[in-house]
Amino acid sequence: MFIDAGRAREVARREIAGGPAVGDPAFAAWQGAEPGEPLLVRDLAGRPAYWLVPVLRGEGSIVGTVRVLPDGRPAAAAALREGTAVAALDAAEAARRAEREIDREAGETAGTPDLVHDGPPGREAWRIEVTWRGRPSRWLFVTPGGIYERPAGEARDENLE
Amino acid sequence: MAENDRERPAPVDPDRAREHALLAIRRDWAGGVPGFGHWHAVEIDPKPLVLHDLNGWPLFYEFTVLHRDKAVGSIKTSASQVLGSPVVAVQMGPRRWDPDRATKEVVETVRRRSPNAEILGAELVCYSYPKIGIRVDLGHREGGEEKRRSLIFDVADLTPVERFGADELEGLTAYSFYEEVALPRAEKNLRRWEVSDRELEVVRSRDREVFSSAFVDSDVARLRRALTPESLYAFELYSSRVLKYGPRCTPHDCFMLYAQQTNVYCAVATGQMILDFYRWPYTQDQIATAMGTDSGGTSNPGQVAGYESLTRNCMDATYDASADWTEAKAEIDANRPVKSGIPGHARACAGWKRQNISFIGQPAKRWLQIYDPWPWNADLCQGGAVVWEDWDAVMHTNFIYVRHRATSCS
Repeated sequence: MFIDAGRAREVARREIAGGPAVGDPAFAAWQGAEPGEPLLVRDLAGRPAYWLVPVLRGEGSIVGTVRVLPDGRPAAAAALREGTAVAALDAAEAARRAEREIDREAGETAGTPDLVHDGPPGREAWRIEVTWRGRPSRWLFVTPGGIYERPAGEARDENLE
Repeated sequence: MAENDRERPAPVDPDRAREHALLAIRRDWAGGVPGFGHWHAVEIDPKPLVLHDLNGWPLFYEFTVLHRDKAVGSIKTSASQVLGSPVVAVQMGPRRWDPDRATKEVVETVRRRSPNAEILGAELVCYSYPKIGIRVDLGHREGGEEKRRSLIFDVADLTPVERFGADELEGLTAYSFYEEVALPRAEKNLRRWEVSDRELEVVRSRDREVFSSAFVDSDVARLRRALTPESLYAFELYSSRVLKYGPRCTPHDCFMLYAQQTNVYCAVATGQMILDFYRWPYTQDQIATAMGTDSGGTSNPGQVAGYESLTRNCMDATYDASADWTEAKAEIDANRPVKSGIPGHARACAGWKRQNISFIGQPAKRWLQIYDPWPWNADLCQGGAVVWEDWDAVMHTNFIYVRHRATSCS
């Protein structure tokens, strides 16, 4: 069973108010914060993996995230530095940022951005599949810190960290 | 009935056991545990089934949970304080077997098989936790001498139980829960019981109505308040510890988060956090060189070699492929950060936290405080995250312990 977004948000609300991070100075910005709209994170094969719920301060800035597993278990509460949350980017913004990496003159086209975890859960990025001559050629991963890429279909080597 | 001349240690009165059962399910309800949504309105049948141990002592009281006179679950409570936990199990749904019918069928079977034996009695036994059986005690005369024996049949399918002893292979075997499980831990269990009993009295002192038979929806807000864990306990709900600077007098939390400067520098940034903690400051590029990082990332042998070479062998780095929460806790307790590996990613661990009390049917939660260098950022003071991570929700692949070498640096 995969819980819905509404339930994930409720789990995050409880986590913000009474989770393990309460009292940790690194999470001071969480006081009075509210959960935002949950984002569905997929694995590299495109399967739904978990919910990432942004933690919002009054003015809407993202100060953290709560990772909620399909069964409703809160797996991790993360305090983030302002402006660094992958959840601060939406698909349109990810596509816009990726645009300069795509050589349309050479015939490259870009797919729709998917929010994925590249490697283990927690390493979230917007993935855009670039196609050339009708075949997937590259994966672009867009994060607030920048963009990196790999040949399409290639997972990270789990033996390397 | 089976004979047992010894006196049952620290017996529990069934009324007290019922109060513990009520507290357990209402606390699970108040805590929002899935499946307990309407359990504020249930009632508990005051007359429990008594499940005996193989040694003859009452072992569990099993109470039936009723909602509008319909059985919706059952709660197994301890009949002795030496079992440690007042409530052993809460089961959703009606019981799948009928004790009276099963007993009758077993007695008839035994009568057919042993027509010359006298049936001395039959009772429910927990023959191999959580399996329940019916034990029939028989007597017969052999060579002028009266002999006794017992037969046990599983309640679910009436199969005879033929193997005895906890050291038998798992399956249809029988052993005494008191002798094998409870009594060897009696002292510790009695202390656990005492804590639970105290907790029950704290709740009662706050609101006697918590133990009323059932609640209507209008009582819900008051009941939830009385049962909310934060307001309940006179003792700590959680234990925790994080790394400190100057842990002797007036310590302060001491660990610094750095983002990984490239998408493959997680082990490198983790190394930077740990090396900085020990006052060995290096740039991430310097650390990457020492660790042999390439375009795919860093190997664990590379990380170990890097920690040692960058500290001129003053630090000893040890790779542990069987990461365990208690090992991380031990390192933090010794005020040492740990590199925590998950598949394809490295982070630094700088703290732990654990629940001291858990809801029934749920193990106590344990967390690690993780300094995660992801999200990456070329500016290491941007990016990264401090994370409280549920230990059991993540696959852990390895730790690297970085410790001062006991011998002189080389």
